[in-house]
Amino acid sequence: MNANNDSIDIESVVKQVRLEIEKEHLPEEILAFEAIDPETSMLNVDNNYAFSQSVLDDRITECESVKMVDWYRDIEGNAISIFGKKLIRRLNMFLLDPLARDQTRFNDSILCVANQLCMRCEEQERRIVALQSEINELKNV
Amino acid sequence: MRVIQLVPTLAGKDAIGNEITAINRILISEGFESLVFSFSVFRSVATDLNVCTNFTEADFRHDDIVIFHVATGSALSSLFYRLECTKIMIYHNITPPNYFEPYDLISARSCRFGLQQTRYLSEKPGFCFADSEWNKNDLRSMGYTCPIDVLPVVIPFDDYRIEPSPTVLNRFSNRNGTNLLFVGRIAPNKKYEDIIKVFACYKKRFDSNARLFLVGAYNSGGSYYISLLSYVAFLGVNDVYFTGSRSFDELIAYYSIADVLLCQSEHEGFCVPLIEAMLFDLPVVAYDSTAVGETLGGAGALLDTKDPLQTAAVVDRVVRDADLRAAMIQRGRARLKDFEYDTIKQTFVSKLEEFLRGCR
Repeated sequence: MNANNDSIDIESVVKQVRLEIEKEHLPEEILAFEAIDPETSMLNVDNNYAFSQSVLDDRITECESVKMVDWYRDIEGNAISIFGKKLIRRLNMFLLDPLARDQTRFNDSILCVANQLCMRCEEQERRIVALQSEINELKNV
Repeated sequence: MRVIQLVPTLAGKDAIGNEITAINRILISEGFESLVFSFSVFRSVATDLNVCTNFTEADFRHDDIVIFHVATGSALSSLFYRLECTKIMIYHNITPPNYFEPYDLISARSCRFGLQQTRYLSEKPGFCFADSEWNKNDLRSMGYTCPIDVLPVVIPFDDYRIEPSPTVLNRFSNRNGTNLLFVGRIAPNKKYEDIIKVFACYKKRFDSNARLFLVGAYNSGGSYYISLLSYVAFLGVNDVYFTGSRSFDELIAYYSIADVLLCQSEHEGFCVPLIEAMLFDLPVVAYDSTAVGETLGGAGALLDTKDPLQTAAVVDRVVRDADLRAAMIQRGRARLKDFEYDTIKQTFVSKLEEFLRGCR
């Protein structure tokens, strides 16, 4: 970062940008938020926003990355607390290790279910497209 | 001498929770016996806090100093009114109820109740701290005549020096494009709809790969949140992420991947995310309302318009103009010095001592 940055007047730059935009463009026409009726907007959400392929893909990727649950955790602190925590960790291993394995198995299964359902949906979508084209052909005959 | 901080709800990592923890440490270092009285305690509060959740008026002594944190309506206000010990108020501001009325009548009622109570308490504290000049003026307008000093929200900078969540980094580092960010609970005064408008313009005119991250807790059945989702659908704008409340390392990851913090809020008593952005060298583009300009202190691009295209153009300039960006980052770093723990500690201790000397 150089010393010249001190001479930049942020306020002037903002004014300049706004003037440029005012000269170059017509104001943007955007639907007013007030046009959204809170009472009925749930319907719109259901119709238009309830499903998003990208959100689904992102979430499944996220689940894949964290499905393995490890009982072991690194320990921080001073020498005495590290010793105490290590002891507690060792004493609890017999309990935590099987729990973590069970959780990992469950996570794996649930992810498998999600992936299977996604594949089933894709298969059904392909079938719908094929049936639709058959209907169209029959209509044309 | 006992100093009791009184707060309706104590949460581990929110602005008021952080402030209570910091004040507790300051009080202990200055030789006071420090306690926190709160009816409900959420999430992981600092382990060094001496918290009492089951208390009555009889638990307060005449020689106690009680510091009451005000941010909403609460039954503790009437308790604070009746106490006969030395009373101090820290005012964090209460959102005007009209913002909530179209969406959430319970929150609107709570805010209205809080404002009534704050007015009712105007003659009770001997001294007040306010998070900002804006909050100080708010108290004056409600009839407070006692001395009032500005004490910015204490932000524990060291807590932010942890590794960002690799899950968030991996998930969102897979493509180019500008990342816009705002952090705060999804509440109508924060004007998320205006952020979405600016983002829609920005995506259409300047960067079709841009993404908008809105990091903050929401009520999934709440009509404001549903209206926002519906608005996004009506505008047909993609890549808007309502992340919900995230863990601290995830929050830090969102700050790390962001290019600009975009604030369109219309009511802030301080606005902690502005300071957090400075901490992560993240330039801020904000609408100039309430305490926002004061907290920024010249370290960001402040606009007096809500025009989405003009705001989007300013965001674009901040993203593309390396010199402007560097200047904003530099000023942000300089501004952070005003919010350092030692600076705020010094203000708090000197004002408290001055007030207590006057009481004797």
